Amino acid sequence: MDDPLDFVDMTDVAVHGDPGTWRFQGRKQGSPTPATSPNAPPGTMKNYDLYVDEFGLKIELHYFRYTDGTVDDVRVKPRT
Amino acid sequence: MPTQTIALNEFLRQLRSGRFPVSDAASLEALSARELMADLQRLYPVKFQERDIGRKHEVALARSIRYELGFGNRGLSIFSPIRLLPVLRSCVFAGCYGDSLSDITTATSVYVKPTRKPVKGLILRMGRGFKLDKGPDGWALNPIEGRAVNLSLEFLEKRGWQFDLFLPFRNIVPEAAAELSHER
Repeated sequence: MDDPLDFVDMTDVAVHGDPGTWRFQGRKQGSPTPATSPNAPPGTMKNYDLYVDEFGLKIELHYFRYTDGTVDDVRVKPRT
Repeated sequence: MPTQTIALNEFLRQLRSGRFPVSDAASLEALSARELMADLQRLYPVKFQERDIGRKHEVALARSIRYELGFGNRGLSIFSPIRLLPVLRSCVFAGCYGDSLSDITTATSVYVKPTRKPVKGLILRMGRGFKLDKGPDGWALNPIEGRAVNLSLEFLEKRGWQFDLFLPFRNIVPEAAAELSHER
């Protein structure tokens, strides 16, 4: 099963530090939820994970997870 | 200069200044991300990072690399050790899933400094820039300011960092650069 943290891009690493140091804070309420995009294969789930980055900033990790365990479209967002 | 190169230069100029109209970003979706990345590499010839993971491809490029003098801890010696520290200038980071561009970031520079604590690695500090990012609600342009981040060589190797680029004089004495690279 893919680890979404491996997909975090270098610019987010430069801003938030090594994802290996981020502290997982659980899943956002309502996550995971079925993906609604017409392009999403059946069973795809949209995930919103909560983290605190290396510098203490609260962030969210958004990504799709397919039924085979792979992830796609991983993004770091500020906590809302 | 081909029209396509002029358009890419103009796009990057607007992105670097944070004045790119986000409403125009939808046109990026019609482009082949892989072709765009190849075009970027012609303008930014120093490729210092590249990797593929799953459907994701990412690349980091710089227009040039320069070296600054850094003074190490002299300990008990009366002399200070001097290091040449690489500075990647005018950088572009781009990522895509499949052949669709997902993000593109400009940064004025990336400063690179070696460290041995807590493990052998590099301290990277990215200069200010802007990130154009495609999300579920469309494209967004946000300013970014990197911090000094301490990353292990293992982490950076997994992400496809090209350490050999950081060796000064590598073009002049390629054999010596190769030897140094093996000693790392």
